[in-house]
Amino acid sequence: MTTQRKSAATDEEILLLLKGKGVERGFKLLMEKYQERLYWHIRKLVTFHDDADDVLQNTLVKIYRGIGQFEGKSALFTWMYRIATNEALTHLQQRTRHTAASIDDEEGLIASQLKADTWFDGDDLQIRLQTATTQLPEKQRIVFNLRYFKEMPYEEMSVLLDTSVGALKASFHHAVKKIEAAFEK
Amino acid sequence: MKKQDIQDELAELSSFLGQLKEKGEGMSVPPDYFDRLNDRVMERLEAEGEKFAAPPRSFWGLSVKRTRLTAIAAAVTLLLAAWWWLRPAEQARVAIAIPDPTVIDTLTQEDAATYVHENILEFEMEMLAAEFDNEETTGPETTTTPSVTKNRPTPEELDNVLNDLTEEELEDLL
Repeated sequence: MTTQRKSAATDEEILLLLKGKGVERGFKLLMEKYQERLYWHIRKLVTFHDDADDVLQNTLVKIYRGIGQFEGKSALFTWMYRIATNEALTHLQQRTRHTAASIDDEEGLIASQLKADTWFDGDDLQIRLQTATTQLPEKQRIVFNLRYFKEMPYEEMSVLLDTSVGALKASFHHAVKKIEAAFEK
Repeated sequence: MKKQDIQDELAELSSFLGQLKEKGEGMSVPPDYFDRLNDRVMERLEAEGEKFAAPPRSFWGLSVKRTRLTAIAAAVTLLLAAWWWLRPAEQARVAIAIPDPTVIDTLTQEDAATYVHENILEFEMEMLAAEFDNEETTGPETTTTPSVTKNRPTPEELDNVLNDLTEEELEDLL
């Protein structure tokens, strides 16, 4: 993971620029501040760097075009996180449609792609973990990534995903059990 | 604190995944990826037709640029309307000020007097006043003599004249 290169500007300053005459400057500050956090959120959902790059660019373009509709009901990052999550899920759905028909084939394909990926340097266990997460249902996959890799508290996740803490704990529990089962195969 | 929470939770759910987590994710990004991303996104937005000089469409309703354009359009419309309104008056003024000499030659004095009487409102006050001043300084060309204008009859003389008039002459005068 690279070092964080965050803008020192506050969300209020960025929004003021974006809604005034400093659109370009405001958007650059927003990207500097949040691009890495958004990238890693997306990357853990879509696994591959090239996919993450595509999804992140689409996300940033949507953020730019949609910033006028941002009403401040949630935190700016929460709003962007939702856009990023939706973009990543749309990408995964499209990828699933174009890959192999059976789950075993799909797992094998992802594992071989990970081994060939320049930007993935994990060992066999890490490849198996990544492969197993790609087989989880959407919601469980998001919850597992946010909890396992990002260590996000359930309360924060609840606001982000608009889901109760109890439901999130249950999702994580199911996800962990499924991944464990995948390793036992 | 946060890390301890997830470790405790994993220890409870799956000690294997807890241990695996210590190894990290095994993911990396190309060098300078985040340094270049900014420019790549801006280039893409520009290629897709975004203009950064103006705020995106639905930001604050009417933009300053749009208001300025509306003001300019209104000013141009007003100028055109003013020109159109003043144009006939200008033509009339020219027509009165520079009459066609060939037409004037054919007019009798009676025709001219009738025309002036019927169109008195068409003449400008300034023009009439100037004519009046001119008449006062130079004197009328035809009818009255200086002796008549200078030596006006007294009321007694007028009474005598009226007494000398016959009824027929009075009717003709009235």
